[in-house]
Amino acid sequence: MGKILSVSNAVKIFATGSVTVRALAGVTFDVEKGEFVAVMGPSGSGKSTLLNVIATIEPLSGGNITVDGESIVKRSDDETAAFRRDKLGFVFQEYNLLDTLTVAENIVLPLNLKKADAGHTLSELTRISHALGVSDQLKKFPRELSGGQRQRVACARAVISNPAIVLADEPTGALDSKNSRNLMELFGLMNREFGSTILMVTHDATVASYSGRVIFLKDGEIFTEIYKGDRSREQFRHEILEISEALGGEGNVL
Amino acid sequence: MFYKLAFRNVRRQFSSYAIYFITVMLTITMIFSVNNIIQSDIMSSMLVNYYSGTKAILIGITGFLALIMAFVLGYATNFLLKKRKKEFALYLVMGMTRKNIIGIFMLETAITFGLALGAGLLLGLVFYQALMGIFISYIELDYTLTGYSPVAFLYTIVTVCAVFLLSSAASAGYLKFEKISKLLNADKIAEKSVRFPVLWVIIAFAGILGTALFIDRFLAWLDTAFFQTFLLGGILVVMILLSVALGSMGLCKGITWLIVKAKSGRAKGTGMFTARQLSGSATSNSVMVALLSVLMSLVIVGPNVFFSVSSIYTERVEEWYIYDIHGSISILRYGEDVTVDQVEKIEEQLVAEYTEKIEKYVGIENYAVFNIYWERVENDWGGSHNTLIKYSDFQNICKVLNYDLPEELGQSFDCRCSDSVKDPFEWKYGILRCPNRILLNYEKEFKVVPDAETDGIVPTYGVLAVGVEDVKYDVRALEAELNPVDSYGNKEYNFKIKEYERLDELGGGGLFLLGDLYASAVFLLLTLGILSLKMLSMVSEDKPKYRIMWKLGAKRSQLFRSMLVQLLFFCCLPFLIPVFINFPLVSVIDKIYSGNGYEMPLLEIIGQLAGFTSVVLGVCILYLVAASIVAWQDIRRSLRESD
Repeated sequence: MGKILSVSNAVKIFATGSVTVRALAGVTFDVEKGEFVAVMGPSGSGKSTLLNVIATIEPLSGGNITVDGESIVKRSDDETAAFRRDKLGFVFQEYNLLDTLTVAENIVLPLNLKKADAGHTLSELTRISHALGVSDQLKKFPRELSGGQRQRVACARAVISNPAIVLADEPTGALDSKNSRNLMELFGLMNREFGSTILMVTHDATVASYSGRVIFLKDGEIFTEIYKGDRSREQFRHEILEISEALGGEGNVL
Repeated sequence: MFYKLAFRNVRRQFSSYAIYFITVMLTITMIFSVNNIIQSDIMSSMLVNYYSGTKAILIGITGFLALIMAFVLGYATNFLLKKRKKEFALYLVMGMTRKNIIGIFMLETAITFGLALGAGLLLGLVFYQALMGIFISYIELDYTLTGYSPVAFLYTIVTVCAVFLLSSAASAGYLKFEKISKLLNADKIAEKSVRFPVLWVIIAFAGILGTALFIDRFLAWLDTAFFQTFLLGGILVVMILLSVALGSMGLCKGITWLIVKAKSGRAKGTGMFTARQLSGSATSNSVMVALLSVLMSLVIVGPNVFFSVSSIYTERVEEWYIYDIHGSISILRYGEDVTVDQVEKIEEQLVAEYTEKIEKYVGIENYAVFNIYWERVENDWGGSHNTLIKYSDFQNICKVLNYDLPEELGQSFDCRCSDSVKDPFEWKYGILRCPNRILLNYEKEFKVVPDAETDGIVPTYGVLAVGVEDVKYDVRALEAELNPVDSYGNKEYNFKIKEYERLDELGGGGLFLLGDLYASAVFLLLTLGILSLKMLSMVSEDKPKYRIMWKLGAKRSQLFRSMLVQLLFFCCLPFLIPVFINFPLVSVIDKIYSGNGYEMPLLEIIGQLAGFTSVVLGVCILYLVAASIVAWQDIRRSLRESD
């Protein structure tokens, strides 16, 4: 397996007038292809900022990030757009589905943006929608779906273009515990069946325990990271909880 | 505290309030200008001279404008309310009373309205002079700065303030009674998808066909029943407008659905997103688009028809008044017993007197004095008569008109005036046909006889016909001198002056043309004002969607193109059928010309229509560019917030 994401000494400073906040203070880590990594940390630790700089939604103040071997720093506007389109898949807390498009149209949006041909788009839609259990909902509009179903659609949209890495920002934040569990199983499926590399930000230990590695952030720096290895998910969850409590995090929600 | 909050809100929401401000300011400018025109001295004197009903029409236009303004203000206020429902709901949740919120909103709109009123009046001062300048030059008077009317000033302020209070009351009612939950979730109300889309496609085509069909019937009515029943014409106009409205609704709901269908499964780039956005906005605004289409049809049709009618009337003066100046100088009164010699002497004196008066203003090139004799038809108990004119008089008339009288005719022949003959004199059916009612406009048939045959006959009346130099002169003063007001205050209309009649036609037609152009300009600005507000409101609501697209990898250029296509399509919707009306309108205008005996080359008609439509589309493009710039700035700001 090769490196798909490499974050080296990433710094992000927000400046508002005379006040400056160092949200990332030199974060360094790698993600291997096919890995499922969770990022945890208390509020203000920089986990969402980390995701945003990787997603090029926010520019980096210092350091470097490479995705699939290409640096994403100092790129033009069009290049960063092309990078997001070709290399990234997104799953947001608020689903971020377009309510004017049908489920099918939402799912194929990344392929449309890539200008993929109609035949390929249709076959991928069929494959992904079946695998993620949304094939019955394709003609509906997002407003006709439940929260869990919407997040499934968002997942389908995230993986349909076979991105280098899927970024998930608190994907279970708007879901109840049952739907959260279902979604995490879906992430597991995406990881195993489609070989998707996933980087997920969460504050929930149970959600994080579905991943293979958890990176803990504190004050914009990596506090520690732990691997699941051969342990059971429950054992892994306990360890995550212990570190979360040590960090003063919110712990278990699921 | 609330004052501070209101002032801060106006400053903070500058872009939203800017649209409101511009729309209200332009409407006030229009109303103030037209009120000044109505109250102006020149208009008052023209109304005395020409057509007294015009003032009522102009006042009607102002009333209509006030109604339109109520609509615009209501719409603009609603636009602001819609943008800020959530904010007001939050104020409520935080513990403010509804009274406080209504107060804040009223204060904000009142501040903006007050500024717009001041700016509108100032702009109106300039706009009024410009309008009057155009009008005065159209009726060929010397342009001088015209004074402003305090009545117009007062009337404008009273009208617009009343309209503002009405629209404020409606907003206050809404804020007073709407549930907090609805205000909070205002931006989550989903757009409804089209029901019965195929039916709407059919309605779109039926509307377009109906428009063509009813215009065709209207043309037939112009041909055959114009003078018989105006009701039918009115019904046909209503049916045309109804078809335009239905066609536009069909386009909104049906054609956009077809576009979505066509894109479905084959879309690349942001195509599907754009198509769905178009469909959503067109569907939810179909009624508004239908109403605006009707207004735009009036904008396209009105000036074209009035311009054609106006130019026909001006042309007609050439036919109605063939001498530069002519007037009856007969001193005969009913039953008066005078001799031929007495008549001739009096005529000589009068001719000398009148030519002297004329020459004070303009040089006389030639003139003719001719007498008309009525000869009773024998054995006709109905009192019919033949009209006779001396050969020498007829020769003089021809001189004044620059006609060459064929010598081979001799000194005795029958003559018939005919409008259909353009070249002077032609033999037909044994009589001489000559153009333009050569004697006077009510004499159609007459006999030219040798001078000796009228010896000893007392003329029924005499006429002085004058040809003057082709120069500019004070025709209004000459008219007043030739047709003085008598001791009872009644004006005499003995003399007709072609130039004065031409200006009179220009003045009368000009008033209507001005009114029509004015109303069209207001309709156009109103339509574009509403469209701009709507477009900006749509973009504002769609910002999160653009953000999602951007996060998913859409380039800014793609998003800009998508936004532009949406705005362009939405902006064009109310113009589609009205522009299509231009095609049958060519026939309508052609009929107006040919029905009045004029041949207007088809290319000139098309040029006229294309000219008016280009002006309309030009203004539309200006608005579209301005709205696009503001909207794109809004989206870019929203994307930057994600940066």
